[in-house]
Amino acid sequence: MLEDKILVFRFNRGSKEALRRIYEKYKDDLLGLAVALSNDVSLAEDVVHDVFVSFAQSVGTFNLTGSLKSYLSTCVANRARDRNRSINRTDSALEAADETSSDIIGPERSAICNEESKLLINLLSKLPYDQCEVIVLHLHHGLKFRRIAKLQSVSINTIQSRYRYGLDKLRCMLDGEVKT
Amino acid sequence: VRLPENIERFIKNRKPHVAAGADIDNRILDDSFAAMAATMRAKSVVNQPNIRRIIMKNRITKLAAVAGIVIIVFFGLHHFGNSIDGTSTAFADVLNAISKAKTISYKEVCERESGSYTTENMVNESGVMRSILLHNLSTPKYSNSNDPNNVNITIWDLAKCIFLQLSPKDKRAYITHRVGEARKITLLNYVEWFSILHEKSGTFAGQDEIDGKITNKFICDRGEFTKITAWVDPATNLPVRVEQVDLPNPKRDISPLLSISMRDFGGTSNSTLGIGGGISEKQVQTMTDFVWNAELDESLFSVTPPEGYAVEENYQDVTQPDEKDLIKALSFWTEMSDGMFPDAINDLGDPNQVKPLLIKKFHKDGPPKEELDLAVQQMHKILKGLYFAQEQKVNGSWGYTGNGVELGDSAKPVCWWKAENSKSYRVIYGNLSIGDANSIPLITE
Repeated sequence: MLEDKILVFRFNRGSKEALRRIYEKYKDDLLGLAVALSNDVSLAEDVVHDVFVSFAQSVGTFNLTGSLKSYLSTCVANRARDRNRSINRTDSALEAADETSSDIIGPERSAICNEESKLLINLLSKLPYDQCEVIVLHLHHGLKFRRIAKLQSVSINTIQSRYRYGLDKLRCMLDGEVKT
Repeated sequence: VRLPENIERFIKNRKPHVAAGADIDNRILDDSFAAMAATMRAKSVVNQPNIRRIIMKNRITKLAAVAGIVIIVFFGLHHFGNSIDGTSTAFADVLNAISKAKTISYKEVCERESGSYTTENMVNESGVMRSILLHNLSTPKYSNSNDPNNVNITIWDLAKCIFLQLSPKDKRAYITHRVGEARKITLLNYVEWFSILHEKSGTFAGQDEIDGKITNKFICDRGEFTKITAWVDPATNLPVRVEQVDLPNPKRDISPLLSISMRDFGGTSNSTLGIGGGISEKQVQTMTDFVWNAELDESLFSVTPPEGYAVEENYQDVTQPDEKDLIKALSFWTEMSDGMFPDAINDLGDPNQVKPLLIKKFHKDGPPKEELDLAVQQMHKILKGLYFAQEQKVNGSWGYTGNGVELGDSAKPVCWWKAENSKSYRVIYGNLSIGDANSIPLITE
């Protein structure tokens, strides 16, 4: 936390090195979040790109009130949602799943390192987006329901419901996988 | 796939780990750096015409503005005195020539990564300095130096403790009264600096051709953070070009620009006040086009605003910071932070932390101008406390242990330092009392 404060402090004073360190520190986590929300590595890269460019534009005025990681995660979630809105998510899910599960990605491209994660991402992509977002932000990135409620502009009860419904659907899907 | 008993754990354990590719790293970082640079350039455009930056005049910020220029000039001269290769006789001549100089004019280009600017400066016999900000090299908006209105003029009268800033374009004048500074000096006979500089050493670095003329070149490495090069005309013994390169000193790299605007207090004006000092990034100041002893019109140095200008006056406390200032700064901090001391002393200069506290304290839905003024006064006080701590830190006898200490805990030291020529340590405790200790205070849990 203190390290982040110092990095933000230096970033605000125009330090490229501070920006680089912030990026290095959180890029994998944020890419993971973006991939989980979009089920598309290429789209995820664009999301993280946009978030960091936008963050860089706040130099000199960026005001960190909480955790930098939570802030950036929220930005990624917002941006991913915007991107997803412009895509017919249902139709693209299968295509995207194929893309993420392919292993033809070279070192110059980002890559999901774990097969089980790929399966989970595939399953998450079949959930309604809001439910997927709650589950990923809460379980993978530690955001509290209150914060996610603010992000989705709904009540905390709605968030908890989305979380429960999402988990139930995942359980059903996994049940189907097992039976298959 | 086995159906998990605990679906939450199942999901948690499968958090995707994505390794970013080299291409995306480069693309994101390159684009981010470009965006950052563009923003900083844009801010430079916005800030320059309304320049009202108040530079704290103390030892910490002595490289700023006029003082900085004076240092450059006399540092350049100083080298001659301590040269080890037989140029010491030249020093006396240069010193003599400078002491007889009545006026000086020169051009200065200051280049930084975040932006550059050019000024034309002149100093009269009384030591009053007039500086004209011509244009910002990195901002096309100010590239038209032919427009006589597209400039900012600052007149520094240190003897009267006043500096006047004029913005001809919008006919505004800002007068700053520097309270607590009574110096009867003239810039060209500022022997105080000689007494400091005489202890330093410089190196004769041979001869260079500058604008077709042979000059003597002298280099002075003033520690690892400042390097000054002066080219001197052997015929007149006066500098024709001086270049100073400053790098951020990590120990002093904690005095950023703190700025706060009317908008922060519900106002609609863009009026912004900022305070800053020190060197936060590498900067190169190059002084050229020296003209010595030219006749200068005294009206150019008047600190009375021209007719037709809207005038705004400010008062700036420029007394040297002391331990009381540090206590006041810590007192404000604890008051606004639920009794907790800052995690680090540098937090006192962190805009991200200080600004919200100022707004919290002074934004009461009253007149924005009044609230802004109060906040700025408090901002000065906080920075004075920080500057005091910085001085102790630079002197090498400073410690801060306030992280986690709560206001009122008289047993816990918050910070300590040892003044020059003192045998004991000064200690500020958690109840903001101050006392002496024979040794560095122990931190007890």
